[in-house]
Amino acid sequence: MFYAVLEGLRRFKIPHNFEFVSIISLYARWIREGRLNVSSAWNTEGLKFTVQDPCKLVRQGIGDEVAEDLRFVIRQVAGEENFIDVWPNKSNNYCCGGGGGALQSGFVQNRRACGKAKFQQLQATGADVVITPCHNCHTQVKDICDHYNGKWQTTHLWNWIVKAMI
Amino acid sequence: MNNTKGSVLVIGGGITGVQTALDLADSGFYVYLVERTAAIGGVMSQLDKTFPTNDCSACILSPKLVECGRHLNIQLLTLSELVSLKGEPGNFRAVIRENPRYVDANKCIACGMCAEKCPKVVPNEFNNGLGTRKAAYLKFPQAVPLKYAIDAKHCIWLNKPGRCGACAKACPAGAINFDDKPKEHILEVGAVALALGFETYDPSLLDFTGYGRLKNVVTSLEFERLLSPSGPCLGHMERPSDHAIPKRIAWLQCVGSRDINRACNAYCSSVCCMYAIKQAVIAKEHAAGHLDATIFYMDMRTHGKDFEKYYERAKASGISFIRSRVHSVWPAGQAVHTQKGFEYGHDLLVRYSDEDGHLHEETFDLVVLSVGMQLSASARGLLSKLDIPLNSHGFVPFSSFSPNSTSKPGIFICGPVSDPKDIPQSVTEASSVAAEISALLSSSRWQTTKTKEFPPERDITAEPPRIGVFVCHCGINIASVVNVKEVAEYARTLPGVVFVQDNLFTCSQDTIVNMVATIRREGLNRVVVASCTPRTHEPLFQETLREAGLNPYLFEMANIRDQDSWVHQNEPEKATQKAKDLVRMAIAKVRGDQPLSANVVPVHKRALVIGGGVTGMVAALSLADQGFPVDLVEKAEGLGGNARRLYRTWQGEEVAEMLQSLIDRTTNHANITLHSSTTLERTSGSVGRFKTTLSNGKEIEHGVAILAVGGQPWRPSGEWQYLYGEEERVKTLLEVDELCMADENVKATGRSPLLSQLNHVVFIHCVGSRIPERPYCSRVCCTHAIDQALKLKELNPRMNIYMLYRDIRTYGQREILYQEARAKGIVFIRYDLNNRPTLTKDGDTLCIGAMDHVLKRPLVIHPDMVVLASAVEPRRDAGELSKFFKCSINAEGFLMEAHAKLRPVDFATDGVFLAGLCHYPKPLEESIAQAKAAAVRAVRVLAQDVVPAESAVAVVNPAKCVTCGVCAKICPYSAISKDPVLQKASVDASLCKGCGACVASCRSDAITLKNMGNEQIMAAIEAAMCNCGG
Repeated sequence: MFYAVLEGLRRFKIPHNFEFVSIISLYARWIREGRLNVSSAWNTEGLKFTVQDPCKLVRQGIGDEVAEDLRFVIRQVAGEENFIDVWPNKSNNYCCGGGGGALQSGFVQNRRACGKAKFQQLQATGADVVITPCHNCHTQVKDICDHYNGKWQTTHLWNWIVKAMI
Repeated sequence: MNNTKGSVLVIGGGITGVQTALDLADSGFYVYLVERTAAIGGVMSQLDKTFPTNDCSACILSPKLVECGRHLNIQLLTLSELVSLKGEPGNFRAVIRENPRYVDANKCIACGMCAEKCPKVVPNEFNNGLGTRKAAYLKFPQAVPLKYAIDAKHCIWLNKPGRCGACAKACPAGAINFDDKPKEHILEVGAVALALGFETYDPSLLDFTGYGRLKNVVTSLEFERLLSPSGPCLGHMERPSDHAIPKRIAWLQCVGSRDINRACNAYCSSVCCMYAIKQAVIAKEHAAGHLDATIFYMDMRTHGKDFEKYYERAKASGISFIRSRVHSVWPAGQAVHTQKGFEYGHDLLVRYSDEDGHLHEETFDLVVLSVGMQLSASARGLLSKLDIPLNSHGFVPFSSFSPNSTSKPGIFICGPVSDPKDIPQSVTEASSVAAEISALLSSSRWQTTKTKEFPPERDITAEPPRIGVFVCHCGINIASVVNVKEVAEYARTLPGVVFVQDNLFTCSQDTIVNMVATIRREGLNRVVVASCTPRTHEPLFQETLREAGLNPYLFEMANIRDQDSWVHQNEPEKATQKAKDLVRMAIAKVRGDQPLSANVVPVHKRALVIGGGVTGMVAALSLADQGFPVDLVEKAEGLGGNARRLYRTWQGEEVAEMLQSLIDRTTNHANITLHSSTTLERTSGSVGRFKTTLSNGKEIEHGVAILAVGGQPWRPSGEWQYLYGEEERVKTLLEVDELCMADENVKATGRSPLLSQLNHVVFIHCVGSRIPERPYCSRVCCTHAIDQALKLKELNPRMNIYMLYRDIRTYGQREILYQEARAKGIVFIRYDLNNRPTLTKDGDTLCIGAMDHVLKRPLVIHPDMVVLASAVEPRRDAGELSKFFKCSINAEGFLMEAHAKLRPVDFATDGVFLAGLCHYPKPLEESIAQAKAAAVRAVRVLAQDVVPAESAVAVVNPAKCVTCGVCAKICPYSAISKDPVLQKASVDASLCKGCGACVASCRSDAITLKNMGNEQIMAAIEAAMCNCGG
């Protein structure tokens, strides 16, 4: 939906009088403006976070700008030292392997084979939590974690914002 | 009363604007050339070498810039922009704002002290931000006008008066003026030409390329600067991050072109395939062979003249071509995660999948993004100010039949404003616009122009030789091999030499001005320039001599570049020795040079156009509209040529209607005499005074000739026959076009069209093109075939259409057709020469056998019709015809222009021009532009009363002549005849080209070539042979 509207506006150069932003960028904007007060004080155990950059949001969508915002929010919420970036990242991040209908179409083995690169990449960070701001990535990242015996927890971003709000 | 203004406003000082300005100024109009930056030259001045000839871009451009800067009838307005334009064709009023330069151009001597002392260092936009310049700067070394400027945005004084002023203190000429204010110029002009050029796509919008983040990812224009001798690393090709010499370079094609995802530019930029190949070839030369060059591409589009051969040569030289769209560029090696993010090395990793679907990883030292073309924001702003709308791709829409007109009469466009295009095509359009304007304003020709006055020639007969020698570095073209200082010092020791100087670019404007002053000051009476070739630069230097009051024939050039530094790159010491030898020879010869009187030929103000196709008719009409009588000769009975068989253009315009109106205008134009069913019998004479006899017995005297003899469809045969001629279901594109036209008629009568009943149609591309016998791309067939397929889909949307192709070459906005074809379900199957499709007959069923390139499986199609996109070939009689005018043809039989890049419609023979398919296969709009371009190039001659002729002609000593007649027979220009009184050979000086054939043939030693006498030749040979020092 997000990507479809964005791409429609862009490709067909449709005149519009509104700004098209992701909620991620709004979180970042609100935190910067001091309207959303978050603190990483809760993270006393030093839970490590990493991130998945959804293709439709970053690579094909808005680009590195939103990926930077995403990282900014995670750092604010989890603590500067508790964020470990993936490699490669942002616009050059790997696809989760579950998009394009792969999650719904049945071919489970093929889909998991596609997700192997993603699994290895996430596993290499040693993170406890993988943030996926896309429900499709979420399902896939969780599935490959279970399938390949990963140890991380797959979550959306807002859960942690709630936890960090003061 | 004539209200039409005789002056023209040209906006844009790139090569396109420069060419329009020169053509108009030489055809009798006064030109204001407006340029936004501090100097003219545009993008071409930033290029290193140009394809397909590998000419040094600055070297071929510079003479044009200098000519523009010196032209009496061109006024340069730099740092200027259009504020408003009002009026109508023939009578516009333009307001131009000239922004302050803060350097008085009349005082500036371009010494460079201001830039040297300026403390403010800023990125150099001429080098695309690679390297720096000062706030007081010169745009580039060969800039025209060669005047420094102060960048107001960065200048310390202009931002905080009183704080700096170092330049003003340093300037020896007192040229710095911090109080400079914008000036307004109100110009009255008859027409406006927009040569707004292009900007390259900014790839920082595509973050997955890493551009902007990874230092060693550069755009192609930045790479040109890295290669260029005037660039940030002085031509040594270093990569930006660590100045290491790259050993592995990748080019990624179609960055910002053919990309409807993130880039939103659906069109193909036309030029990037060729420039990438060129850059790979040149980079390989720079690295002396130690370079792995890889080009990642989608379709290789080498659709121009001699491009395909260039591509084949590049493949043979070891450049890898990989058909793959690379999705990302990563830093190679292990990235180290730090608190500040990742840190990584300098090399780059490219991961791609090959055609078999296998993943590969390859590491490169440098990645070049082949960025596409688009209109700049300032160009778009100007167009909207003029109320000229853009199409959805951001270009100015154009009609294929009048490609340079806009929606506003009197305002014309040329170059990449309407579609991405390369230099030759832009230059052609530049001339085409000049033709349109010259026709529009023909009643005011020579009304507002000025005439050049040279100082009287100094009589040097009694003077001993005082020789001045100017040795050129040519950037690094010469100086990187030859020790120029040593050559200069050596020249100083030679007899007769009184002055020696070495210059970075001897052809730059300041050096030329300086040379005039030096000749006067030192009282020089002979000049030698040791630089490049007289072919491009002799006229410039000869004019310089005239300005200094010297006869232009007291001049010699020593070619220490083409014949020395370029060919002896690996032996600098020997090359320096050879340069000394060449200079010594030139000095020996110049000593004997005598002043020669100027020779002129009166011009017959009449043109001959050969060929009555669209190109010939447009050329004839353009000449006629510009006010000159034309004889149009057509071999066939009727006019129209190949266009009679064309259904529509790629933009959907039907050809027949346009063709009919063209034929009507041609037949009825008062200035055109039509000779149909007529051929040429013979031609004699030269520019200004040709005499041609036609097969209808008429004899025509004409000043110029345009060859528009066209081309023809190749008749498929041999291994490319595909049952053509044996099986009526196998047709060529033109035959299907005829069916389409018939269909239109059928539709009008209400009967069901014939073509719509077909169910399966197969198109086979490249039938007879891009093969060893015909090693060129026929340019038009991809677009033609796809457009035809779309027409068939219009007639019957359920029809199954297959395209068997090698590379789809829908260049420019034609790419949209390709996308539309794919969207409509037309199936594209690629083949290569080793795996050609087969066509057989099983009973009455046609069977096409092909290999599906994605599935890698054989495939059989049973089509109702097979369409062969057969090659366009030159007419066989083109070669015969070209001999009449001593023009040459290339290996494929196409007529050969004077220079592939900058003289696309001229022949090497003066006064003869070419246009249309006889030059190379091309679509209608390009033929039309070329026809008009040829017309204005011809008018440059016809508008003059006399043309200069060769002065260094042969002379016969009647006392020695034995009247044997050998010379008369041997003369290729028929310039020698028997003098009726003396009964001796006599040379017609206006026909003689000074080739020297007669001199060599004369058994009695009776003929001498002026300034090429035995004494001089012997002196040069003696100088070559003597090992007198050096």
